[in-house]
Amino acid sequence: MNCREFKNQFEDGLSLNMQAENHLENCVECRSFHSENLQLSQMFQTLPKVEAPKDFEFGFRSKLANAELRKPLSPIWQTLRYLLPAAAVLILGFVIVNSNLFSTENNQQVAGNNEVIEKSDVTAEEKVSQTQTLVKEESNTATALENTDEEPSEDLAKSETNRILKNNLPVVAGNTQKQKNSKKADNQKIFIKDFQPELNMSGILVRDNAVTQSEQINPLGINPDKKIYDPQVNIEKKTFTADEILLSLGIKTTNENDNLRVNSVVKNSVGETSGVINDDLITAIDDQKVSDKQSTKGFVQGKTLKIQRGENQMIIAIKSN
Amino acid sequence: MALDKYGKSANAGGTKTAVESEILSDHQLIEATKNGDETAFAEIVKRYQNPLTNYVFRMLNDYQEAVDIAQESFVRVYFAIERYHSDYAFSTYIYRIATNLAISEIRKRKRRKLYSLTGLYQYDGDEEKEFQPEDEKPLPEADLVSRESRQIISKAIVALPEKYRVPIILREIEEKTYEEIADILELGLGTTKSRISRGRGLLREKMRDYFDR
Repeated sequence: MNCREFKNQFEDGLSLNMQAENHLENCVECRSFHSENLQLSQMFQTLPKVEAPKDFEFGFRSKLANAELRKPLSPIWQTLRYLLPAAAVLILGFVIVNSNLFSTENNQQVAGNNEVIEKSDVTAEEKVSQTQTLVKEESNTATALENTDEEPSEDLAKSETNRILKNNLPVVAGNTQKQKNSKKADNQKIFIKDFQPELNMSGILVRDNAVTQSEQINPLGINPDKKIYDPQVNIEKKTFTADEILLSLGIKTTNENDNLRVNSVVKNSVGETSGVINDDLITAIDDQKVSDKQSTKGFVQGKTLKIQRGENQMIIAIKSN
Repeated sequence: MALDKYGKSANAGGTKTAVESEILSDHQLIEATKNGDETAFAEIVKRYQNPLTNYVFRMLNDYQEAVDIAQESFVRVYFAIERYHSDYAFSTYIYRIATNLAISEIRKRKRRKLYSLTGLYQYDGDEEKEFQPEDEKPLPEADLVSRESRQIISKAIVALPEKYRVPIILREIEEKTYEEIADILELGLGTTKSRISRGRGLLREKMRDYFDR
């Protein structure tokens, strides 16, 4: 028996036969091999058998329960589980890329076309003033009602109607009496209703009580967003004192012998664009003397200003731009 | 088949109790589990929990992880029980599953170790203490030597490359036959033998200083 045969027999775990025993006695190398392997096996035997913990089955059951929770994923969902995030990333990427494109386009528009911006600015302004107007109209109703009995000034009524026509507001001609007789309930139902403004001597817009109430539901009987901007609406509908009007135009004044001396004009204000400068003496607004400022009638139209500049008397038109 | 799995009451007469289970073979227990008998699978767990835990522990030298992997092996068996065929002994089947789980854990650790070498990941796996069974008696002085040698052999086993480590443990600790080991590892008998032989050779070299001359 050679060494190789001996090792094979030993490693196969068979008990050594006579030939092997003989070889072992004569071969130093195989003796050492045999001895070392036996010692190694003994060392293995000294290793304690590790046991499972007492709660092993409990741990197994809880793992089982967890796995069962995870299990119901159908093959379709298992596929989608990977596809969905990928799709989400793609969509996100698409959105980001596109939003970049859009913002670039916008920038080009801004750079290339200032008119567009001006236009849109005006529109924004219009919207703001429209809202203000609507609010003011309502708050002024009480004041206006005091003057209901007074006959409207023909000129002002005319200009009011013209303005409304110009603004494409639906106007159905009618008279005050007729309006007064109409029932409140009916007014609320009519979408485009009679609109005949009453104006007093000072040009304050006066409304019938019934109309006002229905307007609280739908002011002017139409969609307020469709109303077209008129810069004078602000002034027209409210009772202002002269210095209040001027202040709203950006002109700060102090009283001087019943006239108003301009102290300062706000930059880019209506006052400045209209051509008012410091030290102008404003004597009248729309033919109405500013000395009337204590009057409850107030100033309404605000289309022109009568100014004394040095020696010169002049009338300038109020321009918004 | 589905009816069978939940049809415990329909099968009431044939359902085995836990006491009866003890005398049943693994294959019979598996069949009972397939028929919805939970106690049958509990019996299987009871039969294999200790050898499996010991086996995986010797591979990893980490008791908590060994318990974890042994439990996970039972979970895998439970879910795949419909697919289990009695071509192999059940022990071969469950050892194969545990082996695969343990090997993937070994590889995971190897990767972590690689990271720790580059300083990216701190891993102190080598510092793990040897598992001491709680009920171990106080050691006489003579046993201190064997205790030391136990630690040495444990470390030497864990330090073996995995392809030698697994068959050596199966052979020397679990005392499986070469045929069983070949089945568990899905290797040829010759390859299995040569790996065990080579593993032994490596261990002998490492342990040479501790051998009596």
